[in-house]
Parts: sequence; structure tokens; C-alpha cells
Amino acid sequence: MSGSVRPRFGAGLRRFFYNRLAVVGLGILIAIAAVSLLAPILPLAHPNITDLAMRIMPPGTEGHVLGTDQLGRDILSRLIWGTRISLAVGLSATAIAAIIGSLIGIVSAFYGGVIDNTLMRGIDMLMAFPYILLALAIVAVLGPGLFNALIAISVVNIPFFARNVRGATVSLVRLEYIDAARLSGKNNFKILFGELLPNVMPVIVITISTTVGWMILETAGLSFLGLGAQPPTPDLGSMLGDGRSVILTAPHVATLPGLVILVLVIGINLVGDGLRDVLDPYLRAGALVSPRPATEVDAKLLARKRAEKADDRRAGESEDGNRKTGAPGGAQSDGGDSGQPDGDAQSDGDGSGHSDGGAPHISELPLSVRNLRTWFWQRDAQIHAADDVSFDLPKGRALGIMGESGSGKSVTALSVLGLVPTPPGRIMDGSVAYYGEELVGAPLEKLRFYRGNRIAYIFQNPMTSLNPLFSVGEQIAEAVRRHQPVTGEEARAKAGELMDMVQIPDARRRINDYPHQLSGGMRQRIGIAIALANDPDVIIADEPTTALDVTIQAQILRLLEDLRERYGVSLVFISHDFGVVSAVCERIVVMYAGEIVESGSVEEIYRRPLHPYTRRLMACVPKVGSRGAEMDAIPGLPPALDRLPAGCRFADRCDMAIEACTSAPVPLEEHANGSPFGAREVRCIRAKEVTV
Amino acid sequence: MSEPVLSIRGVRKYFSERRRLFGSTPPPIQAVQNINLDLYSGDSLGVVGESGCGKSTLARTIVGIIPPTSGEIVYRGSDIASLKGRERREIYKHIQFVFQDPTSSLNPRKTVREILSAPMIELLGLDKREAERRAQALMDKVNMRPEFLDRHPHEFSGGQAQRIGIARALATNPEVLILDEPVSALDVSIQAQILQLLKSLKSDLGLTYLFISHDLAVVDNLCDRVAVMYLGSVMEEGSAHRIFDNPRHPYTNVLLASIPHPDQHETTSIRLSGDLPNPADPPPGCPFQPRCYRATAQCSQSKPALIDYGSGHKAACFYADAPEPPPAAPLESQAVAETADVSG
Ligand SMILES: Nc1ncnc2c1ncn2[C@@H]1O[C@H](COP(=O)(O)OP(=O)(O)O)[C@@H](O)[C@H]1O
Ligand code: SF4
Ligand code: SF4
Ligand SMILES: [Mg+2]
Repeated sequence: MSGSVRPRFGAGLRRFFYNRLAVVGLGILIAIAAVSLLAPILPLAHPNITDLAMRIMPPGTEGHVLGTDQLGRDILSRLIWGTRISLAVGLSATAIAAIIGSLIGIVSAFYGGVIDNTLMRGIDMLMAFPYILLALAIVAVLGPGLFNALIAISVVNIPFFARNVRGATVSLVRLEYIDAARLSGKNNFKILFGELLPNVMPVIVITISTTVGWMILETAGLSFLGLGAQPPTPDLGSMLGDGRSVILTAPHVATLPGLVILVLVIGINLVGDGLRDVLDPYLRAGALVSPRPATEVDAKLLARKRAEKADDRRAGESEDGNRKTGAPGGAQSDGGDSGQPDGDAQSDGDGSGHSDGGAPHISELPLSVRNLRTWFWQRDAQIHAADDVSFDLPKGRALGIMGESGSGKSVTALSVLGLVPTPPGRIMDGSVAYYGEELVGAPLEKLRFYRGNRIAYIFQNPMTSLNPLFSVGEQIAEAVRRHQPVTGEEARAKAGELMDMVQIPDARRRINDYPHQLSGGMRQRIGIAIALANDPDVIIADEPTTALDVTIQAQILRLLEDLRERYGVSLVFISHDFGVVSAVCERIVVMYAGEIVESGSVEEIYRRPLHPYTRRLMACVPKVGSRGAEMDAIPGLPPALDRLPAGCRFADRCDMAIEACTSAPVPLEEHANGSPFGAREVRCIRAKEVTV
Repeated sequence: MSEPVLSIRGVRKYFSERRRLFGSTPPPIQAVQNINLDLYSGDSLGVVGESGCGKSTLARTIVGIIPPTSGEIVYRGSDIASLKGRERREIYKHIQFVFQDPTSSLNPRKTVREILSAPMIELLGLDKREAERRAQALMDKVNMRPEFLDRHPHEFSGGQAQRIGIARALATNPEVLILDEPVSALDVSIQAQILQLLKSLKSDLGLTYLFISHDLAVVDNLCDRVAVMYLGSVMEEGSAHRIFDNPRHPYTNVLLASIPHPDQHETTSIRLSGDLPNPADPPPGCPFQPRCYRATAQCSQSKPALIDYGSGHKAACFYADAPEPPPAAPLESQAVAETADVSG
């Protein structure tokens, strides 16, 4: 096959070998398989030759290393030959069950309708019986014997395969690549076996790994009952059965085959677990690693913050009130009532000239983010998702974060309250302050207190943040009760009010609706109602209208604007669409490859974008009326965030790039002042040349 | 004008849900209702509308991924709506499809080579060697490096994957491409690259496009003619400049006014109240009537026909002869009162 499969396959192999238990299991299986394959050429006594003179000899007897059974047959030889037969029967049964079961599953899912109904009802009938009874019944009808036992065990296990494979296939059949294959002229047969089968193969392998151990046990079970291997043929189950009668006088006759079964099944299960870890995408995504309740903060940063805090406290004690850093020491008591100190705003000496008469002190800002750096630590890569991000948000104002996907908008937003998943996320540097209160490295109780209470989030897809099992009213009420000491009754009343507030028509009736009963626009209103539940000071809306139609988007944007005007909430609004951001925000920061590349008022950025990326991005968005105009697309792709260039991150796509751009990191520099709540900044060494 | 390449004549598509265990069969979802559209050679016809208006269903019906409930799809004079097997495959040579989601429309287990060769082997009967040669040329056409033929879809970004989707559709040298929101899943800068590519392919290869999108600006940029759909029906149809510069239908007006634009801050005012009605239970009369700012009593009594107001500019509204832009913001109370139910 092609070259690119190998690295993927190799990575899987490596992951398998990371699992030490799986490697042990594999060793066991290889040893057992090798010995039983070599049985014919090993210097063994014949397994079926009886020697009544040598009956029931203990292990260690001359010529019979493991002793003999009640007919004087060599136990070692019988064990090896018996393992061979047990393995052969178990594996054949697995193969038969896997092939027939998977076929039934894949065909049912693909054709659906009557075929699916008929096949699956049949499978249900098989599953209605306890399977060992079913196996016994089949052997009873067919008569005892290894081959019939094999058939019985295969039949009994078919439903597992059919169900699992059908389940996996159903979700694949609807994917567009199946339609694409049909449009490429492939017939049903080729689609079933060429397109679908390779994709359900992992599920089949996983099912095999979970059932093969069972099937070997079941084979042994039937033989133990005398329904499988017939004397004198050795088989682990029949040997166990034979030994039963002498269990008291010669325990080794039964114990030895029992041990082999045990070791064999353990080996199979260890390997199976290893395989599942490699193949199961759910496990691979790290589902077993439970995420921490808050994003990890880098140890060095944490230590530094603790030291600073201690310094502050000491300084505060000696000079009463340290205004420079703003944060009220370690106090976390006053979070409840917005914690805003009565405003004797005093501009710092280094205040860099802002329009609203001097920069507001950090302790007056509902949100201030400084030099935030959040990375994802993966086994072989560090993803610089957000690097050196800073912005301020005064009370009642709206800040937009604009950028294409992967530019770090969401990671920035989630870092505010430590909601970036760890692993792999880690805050490496910077600070986030709520009215001067440091949130990076804050204790979990404090973060929990702020979450959804003082700072609330609205997400792109409310369907994923709403619980499908509870009515929307219950979910809003729950959000209220999480932070307010109210009765259930009061919370429900508040939920109704909130639904009115977000203009949900006929709220009293809708309060009992479930999320799936609402349209996308209505669901997003519920998401907003939940965000408003505790009268937050800051709402962070991450692409809240991206999944909505323009007409509904206009409604939601208007609603957010109304709420901000009416309740003085501060808003961080994230979007990839400049038009949308400009509809709600006064100030915009533009992000590219994890960094802010430009910031300023909506007006300034729209009229005179300073960064080449912003300029070209806005130029390549089609506008109504720009009929047939040639679009000057930006060539190439954003850089991979784990292999960033040393200099400007936009350099390889920039038509203004010069040598100096790539030699050293380009700082975000103040270009002019006079922007609303913040300066006009740009991260480009040629920004001064822009004249428009 | 000459004969159209592709003619959609009275196409309807109803999806009936399965019968509930107790009780009656639920009413069918009327996804597409009696659509008539002509596509001429070299044309690019844009179909715009909000999600759930039936755009994608129409597109899938045209290529035969799903059969229409009734109506004809006439390609070069013959009805292809109910073709099966070999005859259907013959049509796939001439009419191809580009999917919205570039990643889910490429099989993760196949290499790009296998994906691009499949239509050439299955539909054109080429041998592997010839298919390989042409696959390289295809990669070149969509501005991708031929080395990428060995790669799997997950190794590509969304924009690159969409180039492969386009290459796959072009593999048999089709005459018509049906593009179902081909740039909607892409980032703005990548969207511009793909639009550029689609434009140059169209002029280089003389393709005919039926381009589906919810984004009016994208359609205006790429298409010469536009059909505006709402709740399964065409509301307005005509040349792009007539539709976008002088819309006749209130719904088109509302769509245009809803686009937020940095130049007009007041665009955030709601131009349209409420939600899309339930397509299983469409309102009586004009489908747009419960949300329309011009609706009168007549509008809920009968359904306005799609009438030509000259130069092929058609609109389905009783008042299309005297169009009026929407008011800046409709009554807030209206927004509360008239929202229809949408389930599922
Ligand atoms: N859980 C995660 N593990 C690894 N990388 C992640 C994770 N979440 C996000 N990233 C990466 O971080 C970068 C920034 O992502 P994000 O903030 O979501 O971008 P945006 O919101 O601007 O689209 C992307 O490269 C993304 O792939
Ligand atoms: S610093 Fe250089 S490469 Fe970067 S955006 Fe400016 S001109 Fe382009
Ligand atoms: S027919 Fe009536 S309801 Fe329909 S669009 Fe025209 S004015 Fe509005
Ligand atoms: Mg995001």
C-alpha cells in the first residue's frame, strides 16, 4: 500500500507497545501458539496411548514431566495437543461468527427497511435465550462432537457481531462519502465491501478481541460437559472433565488444563485490551483520562504568582494599599457583589493615552487579560494555541475577537475561567483579572464561584451545551440555583422571567419543552438565558450566531445588543465574520495563528486595516454587489501551531514580506492612540507604510 | 434562447416519517414543492435560502442520490429522474456533485489516488494506469501537488480536502456540476481560494454550475442567475443584478437587509420576526405570509404564482409589481406573537 498508511499503522503499533500488559499478553499468546503449532514435531508421547500400568503418576515422573491421567496418558502431550484443538475450535468459531455476524450487521445497516427489520428480529430472537442454553440446545439437536460444538458456539456468538457491526455501520451509511462513491459509479457490492467494510473493520476487530476468549471458554465448557471433543481426543475442556473424577486423589489432572485455560484467556484479554486502546477512537481521544476541573497552570508561573502575591501582601501591610498592581492581595471574599471598588480612578504614570480620559485602573475592569499564553502539550508537539494575548474590557462595553478557525479565539475565551481541557491544555504565562482579582492559578472554588455567575459563556452550538434529557426551563432554573440560594419554585419563576427577557415567545408554554423541540434560534436564546441567570458582569459569546441563518442571526445580535444596553453587561464577542463583530462591538482584536495581529475600533479597522492579513482578509470576503469581481485570495494556509516560524507568523502568505520579517518575532506595537478602551495596535514591521 | 441543458420540471420531494406505533401516520415533510428551474449551458445558477428551505434536497434529487416524489429532471431532452443501474451511471458521467463537508465526503480509508480513480475506472472504464495519469492531471487542475495522490483525506486541511472533492467531481469531464454549499464549511480566506478555483475551472472547462449556498454575497460573486427559495418553493428568480439590486419579493428584501455590514450599524435591527414554519405543516396561502411585513388577508387565502415581470425576473408575491423594502425594525410584539413551531 501507499507510504502514508505506514506512519499511521506504525503509530498504532507504538501505542500498542506502550501498553506493557498487552505486550505480556502477546508474549503469552505467541508462546502458546508456537508450542501448539509445533506439537507434531515436538518429542512428545502420543497423547492417546493409554498405559494402565502408569496410571495417575504425579508430575516429575520419569518420562512424564507433568505426570499421567487415570488412563496412563502423558498429560504434557495431551495438554499441548488439547490446547491445539481448543484453540483451533475457538478461533474457527470466532472466524465463523465474525464473518456471518458482521455480514448480517453491515447488510442490515446498509439496506435498512425490510431487510434490516427481518435480519435484526432474527438476531433478537437468538439473543432472547441465555446463550449457554442455546448452545446446549443446538448440540442436543445436532448431537455431540467437536464440529457441532463449533457450530453451536458460532451461532451463539453471531448476534454480538451483528449488533456491534450494525451499530457502527448505521452511522457510516449516512456519511457523504457513501453518496460520493455511488456518484463515482460504484455499485452496492463495491460500496459495501470497498467503502464500508474497511471503516467498520476496527469495530469487528474489537468485537473479536472481546469474544474470542469467551468462545474458547465456551468450547471448553461444552467439552467439559461431554458435548464437545469425544474421547480419546484431548481438548482442554474434556481434560478438565476427565480430571474431575480424581480431583481429590490426583488434583493435578484437572488443575493443569484449568491453568492452561486461565493463562490462555488472560493472554487473549490482555492483547484484546491493548488492541482496543489502539483502535477505539473514543478511547484514543483520551476519554479515559478524566479532564481536570480547571486548566492546569504551569508550575513555574504558579510559583511566580504565589511569590508575587506574598510580596503584595507584605507590601500592602507596610504601605497600606498597593495601588500599582491593583489586585486586592489574596482576598477573595468580595467576589459576590461584583467586587468593584468605588471608583477613585487614577491614571497611572505610564498611561498610554486613551480616549475615555485616562486608562481605567485594572481594578475597575470586569475583565483584563495580560500576555496570556495557553499551549496544548501533546506527546510529540507543543501547540501554541494562544500566545501573548492581551485585552481590556471596561464595564458595559463590547469587545470583538475576530479570526479564522484555529487562530486561538476559543482557547483565549476558555482560558479566562480555566475551561481549556487539561490534558493537553496548560496556561503557560500571563494573567486574567476580574476587577483586579487574579483568575490564573486561582483555587478551584474561586473559579467555580465565577463560572456562570460573574462571567458567563454562550457557545456556538447550544445543542451540545444543553442536556437533551431535561426541559429547558429546568436547565435555566438549575443555572439559577447553582449560584443563588433560592427555592425550586423561585428558580422556576426566574427561569420564566429569563425566557421572557431573551424574547422567547409564549415562554410559559416553552418552559417545559426539551431542547430538541426548539429551533436553532430558540435554543440559542435558551443558551443566552442560562448565561444571564445570575446577572453576570461579563458574557463571553463564542461564535453564538455562526450556526444560525442570517435572519435569525440578526435577531440574536439585536438581543445581545439590547441586553448590553439595558443591563450594562460587558461582552466579549467572538466571530470569524467582521460584519457580525462590527454589528455588536466597538473594539476589535484580530487574531492570526494564536496571536493578536491588530486591534482598534471597528471603524478604524474597517476603514484602514493596518496589518496585511486583516487587509487581505477583508478584501477576500465577497460582498453583495461585488458581482463577479475577481477575488484576491490569500495564498496558502496558516502555519501549523506546533511548528511556528521564528519571525512573523503571516510571512509566508504576505505579499509585503521582507527579510527582516522572518528573522525575529514581530512585537505588537502601539500605532496610534484614541481608540475606544485600548490603543490602536498592530504586529507588523511595515505597518507604518500603510497609507490609505 | 437555446434549449436548457438541465430542466427541473415540477419537482416535489416529500419525506414521510415512519408510522408511529399507535396513532396516525404523521404528515410528510414537504421539503421541495413544485420547483421549476432551467439551467443553460455555461450558466451558473445560484440557489439561495436559509437552512431547511430545501436547497440540499433539491440538489440531491437532481443528481439522483434521492428520487423525487414527482416531477421530471430533464437532461438534454430526456427525463433522468427515475433512472437506475447502468443508465443512472451513464448520467453520472455528465452531471456531478460537490458536497458541503469536504471531510465527510472523502472516505478516510482511501488514498486520494483511489478516490480520484474510482469514477474513471467505474464510469469511463479506464484501466488503472490511464486513471493514474489522469488523476495527476486532475490534481494539477485543482492546484494540488501530484505527490498528494498517496495521502489520505485526514492529512488535508478543509480547503485542500474540498479541492479533492472538486477534482473527484471533475474526473469524468462532466458538463454540469451541482455544488451543495461547497464553501460554507471553509474559513473566509480559504473560501476565497475555492471560489477563485471554481471560477477559473468554469471558464477553462466550459462547465455549467448549479451552486447552492445560504450566503448571498458568495452567490452574487459567482453566479449570473439566482433563485431564492423559501420553505420548499422558489420565491424569486432572475439575473443576479436584478435580484440583488432590485429585489421584488419581500423575503429577498429581508434576506438582504439581514446581512450585517460594518457600514450600517443599524442592520442589527430585526428585519424578520419568528422562525421558519414547520415544513410538515406549511402555512396556508403564501409560504412567507406568517413572517411577511407586507402580508394582507389575501396572502393567507391563496398562494401567489411565480410570475415573470420581464427579462426573466420572476417573483411569487401578490405585490411584486410594486416592491417595498422592509421597515427598519418590525414591531417587537410581532416577534413574540408570530413565531411558529419548529420541531426536530
Ligand atoms: N483539546 C485540544 N487539544 C489539542 N489542541 C487543541 C485543543 N483545542 C484546541 N486546540 C488547538 O488550538 C488551536 C486554537 O484553537 P481555537 O482556540 O479553538 O481556535 P478558534 O476558536 O480561533 O477557531 C488550534 O490549532 C486547535 O487545533
Ligand atoms: S511583518 Fe512582514 S511578513 Fe509580517 S505582516 Fe508585516 S510585512 Fe507581512
Ligand atoms: S404574497 Fe403576501 S405574504 Fe407572500 S410575500 Fe407577497 S406580500 Fe408577503
Ligand atoms: Mg472557536
